[in-house]
Amino acid sequence: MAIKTRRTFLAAGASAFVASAVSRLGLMRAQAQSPNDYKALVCIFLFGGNDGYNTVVPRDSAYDLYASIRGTLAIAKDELLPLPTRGGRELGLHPGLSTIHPLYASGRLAIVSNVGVLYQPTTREQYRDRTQPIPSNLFSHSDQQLQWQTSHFDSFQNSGWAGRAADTVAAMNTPSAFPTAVSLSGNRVMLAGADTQPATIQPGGGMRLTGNGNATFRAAREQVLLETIKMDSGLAMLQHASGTLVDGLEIGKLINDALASAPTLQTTFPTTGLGRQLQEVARLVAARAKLGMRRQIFFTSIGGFDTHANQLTTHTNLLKQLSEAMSAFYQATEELGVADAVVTFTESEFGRTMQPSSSAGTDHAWGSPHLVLGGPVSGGDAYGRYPNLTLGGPDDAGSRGSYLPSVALDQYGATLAAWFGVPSTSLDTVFPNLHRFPERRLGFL
Amino acid sequence: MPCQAFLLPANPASCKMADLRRRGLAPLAFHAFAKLALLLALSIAGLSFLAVAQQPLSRAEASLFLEQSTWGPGPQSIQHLVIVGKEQFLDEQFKAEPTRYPEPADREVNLSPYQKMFYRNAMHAPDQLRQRVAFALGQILVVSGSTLGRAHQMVPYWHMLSEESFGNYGVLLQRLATNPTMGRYLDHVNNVKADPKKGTLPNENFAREFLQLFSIGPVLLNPDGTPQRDSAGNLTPAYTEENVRQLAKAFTGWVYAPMPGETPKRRATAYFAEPMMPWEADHDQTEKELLNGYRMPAGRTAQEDLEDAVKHVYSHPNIGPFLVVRLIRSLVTSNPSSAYVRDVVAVFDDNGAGVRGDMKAVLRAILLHPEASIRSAGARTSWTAHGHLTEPVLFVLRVLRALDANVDEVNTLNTHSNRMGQNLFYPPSVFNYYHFDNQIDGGYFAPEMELHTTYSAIERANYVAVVVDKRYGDGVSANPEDLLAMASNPAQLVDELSIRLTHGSLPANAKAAIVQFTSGVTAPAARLQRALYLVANSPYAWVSGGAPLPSAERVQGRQPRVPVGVPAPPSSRGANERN
Repeated sequence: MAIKTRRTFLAAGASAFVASAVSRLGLMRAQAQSPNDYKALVCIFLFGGNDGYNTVVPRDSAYDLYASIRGTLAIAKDELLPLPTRGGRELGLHPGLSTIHPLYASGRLAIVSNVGVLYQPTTREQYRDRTQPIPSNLFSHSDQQLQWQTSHFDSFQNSGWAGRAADTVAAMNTPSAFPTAVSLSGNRVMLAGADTQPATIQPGGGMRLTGNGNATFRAAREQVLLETIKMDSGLAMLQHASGTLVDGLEIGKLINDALASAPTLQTTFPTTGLGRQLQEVARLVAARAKLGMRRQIFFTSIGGFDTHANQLTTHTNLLKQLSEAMSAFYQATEELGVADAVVTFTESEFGRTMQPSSSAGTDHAWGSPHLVLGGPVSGGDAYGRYPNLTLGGPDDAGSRGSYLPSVALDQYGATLAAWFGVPSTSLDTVFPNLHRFPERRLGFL
Repeated sequence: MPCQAFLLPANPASCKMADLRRRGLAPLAFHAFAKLALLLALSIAGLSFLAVAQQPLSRAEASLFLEQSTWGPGPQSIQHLVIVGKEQFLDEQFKAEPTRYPEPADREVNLSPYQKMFYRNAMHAPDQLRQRVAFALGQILVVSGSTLGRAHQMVPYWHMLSEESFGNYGVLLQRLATNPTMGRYLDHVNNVKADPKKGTLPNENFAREFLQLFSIGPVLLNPDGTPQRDSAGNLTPAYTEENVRQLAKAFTGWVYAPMPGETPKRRATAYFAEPMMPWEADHDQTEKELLNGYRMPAGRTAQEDLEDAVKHVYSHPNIGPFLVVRLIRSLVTSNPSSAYVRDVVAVFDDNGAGVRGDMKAVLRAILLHPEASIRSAGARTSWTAHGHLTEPVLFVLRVLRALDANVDEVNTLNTHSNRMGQNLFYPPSVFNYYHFDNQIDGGYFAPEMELHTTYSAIERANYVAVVVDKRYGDGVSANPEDLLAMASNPAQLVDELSIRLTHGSLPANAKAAIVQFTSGVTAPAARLQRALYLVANSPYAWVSGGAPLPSAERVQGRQPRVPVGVPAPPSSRGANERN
């Protein structure tokens, strides 16, 4: 499956931009919003395929089965942080996630068990006999990363579910060049919609032209630069190359102006890659009024989860980074008074085999637990069915503990999107497989 | 090629080119000789096709070819190519001494000094094409400094890629499968057969990526590189999960070779200078079933299984289109036509002497294909998406080579490509810095554009400002006296920059705006700064081969323009590091 990055204002053409701005105004009047209405979704993508079944582990009678399969990779029962569920199960959180563990008890953190890409509810037999459609290239990093972003499982798509969700709410933002969707981690198809054209920025600023010479000279040079690169070459690669620069300079001006007058954050963030990304998200949230934003979607990420070998140490370090960055970000939303308006959630291309490999690691699998954090979250519970871990059992797609998802990506995403404000009539456009699942929204939001 | 040979039998002057060039005499003298020879040949042969074949390259054509086959055109390389022609140039490149890296002093040396060497070698070492191809192969057979951050872990791997750049892809895959650097990166070293007591299975990491990323890819391909579709439009997987499992079994039982003076052992010190060695006790000797029902009998050794498994995968018809599309995208264009891919795949499958995977033949077929040097808009519709974005490392070098700059081993150039999203030797994963099937609007492929963001585009423009302002720090110097000498005539200056940075494709309206701004000052250095900033930041410079050659450059019988006063390279240049 191929990837689509972003369109540019140059490529889209000025007339389309004006038309969409006009229609936005009409929509905005139609949707009377309170002045303080604000919502943001923040995706943290765990690149490499997180081992979800060492992230959320059974602490009840199922622990022994877990420990016998996992062998040296098993986490000791007394190290697991308790996650009692309302349904009476005892799950446990990986000790590396200790900084966000208290947010489970306080009802801000929810577990969603066993999420994965699915066209429709699928049994082991249906998967084995291929009696119904199965998402393509299930165990390939690149394909599954795209499928988790797009909710399209068989072919190239030039939009992602978050971008399509943004399309439906963008009218609530003041018309400006500032995009509804922003990536802090490279160009991501997840954020591209039919109209939504995401920006990709970097933590720590930049986004302006630099060079020697006084301001007058540099302004004159920039003017000639823009004049020449905006000339229509009729050549797609060239238009995209310089269109991205033109867009970047527009967006950079807006960000730099807005951040200059935004309050300084007191919350301390870890100096990890994810910590810096989430800190920049917090800064943009702080500048939301100046940017004219009422709905925003952010993409952040942390890589390294492809733990084929020597998993225990690596995984613990990664989860610590995740936990510390997430808890700092949650604190920052409290500091900014938007803890009840911001929801952070994880994605990852797949889970990992319950049965280890010979090098003290795990291989590529399918469904996996995920985390959702924020004030609006009905936390302190696990949603979706935690699988029966038996190798080759009813929930295993194969023989190594590659579990059939019990929650579809479309259900997980639709729950987030519906809270965000995507009208229920649009959910089936945003999530093309949702209509095949009886439960359209899970209860965590 | 025959014409070239007829014209300049064995090219007697070429061996002396380096000497002549050093004295600054070669281009003009040699050019005069070539012209004379051409006239002579034409009058003797009297054949019209010779007139077409032997027409000297324009400087714009030469510049475009150098965009595709080197780290960027410079004044000397353009002149040289104009004189010798593409085929002779390729012959020279195939014979050029391969650049090698010095062995690190100890196991602690990190990759930083080697990043600096890389930029210096790319600037100055003569084996330009080999380096470009090795870099392209390194983005297919990816290993990363994020796991392998020590020079002793990487240098032998880079040498393998360099050697096989002009070797054979089948040989490269065999070498890859026993290479300890890849072995370490994808957990192939010390991979042990299933252990029923511990409940473990062989690690699948290398086996899976060998199929998906290094050889055949996930779906069946047509000979033009497009995916095969059934009548319902569905793709056909090229392998199953079970194939991955079985191949993982075939690849078990390899350990590090012993360091000099040590005896072989199962968990030896990680050693990267020699191929891995088999450790039979760890090898899965059961029967394996690979692609399309191919069975490898039980009881074979690790070596037998590995060699046969690689050979079996290499026999798959996907290999040609898989590799060829990637190489064309790295060197020439992100959107080759079906015919272009098919033509090159045919050469991959048989170089004319029955050899499959001959890299030299494949490179000739790619670089000499008419589609690589398309001349005018409208010649084919997909011209709208020709060429490819110069990736950051290449862009950093291209701007400096156009200025005939000098780069030595203390340079900090990687800072700049890193800001644009490409930290040399540190791709984020085995999936490289960007995906080969990344697309932009209109459904066009544009792999490098994945790195081209609203942030990195500004950093790219700012890199040009760094060069313009000479803020590139130690280890880089540029004093393009020839360009400064042209500054009295801004139109000529902009024309020359357009030749070097856009193969002369910068259109008249853009040139006019740049000339006007350049004429706003009088000092030559200030004029060069203004013109360079605007030409190097035009999309015609950012996208390699993105626009057609200017038709005016291709007038019949027109003598190529050669600028005068080009300084000769100092003799210290090109002194590549050897071990």
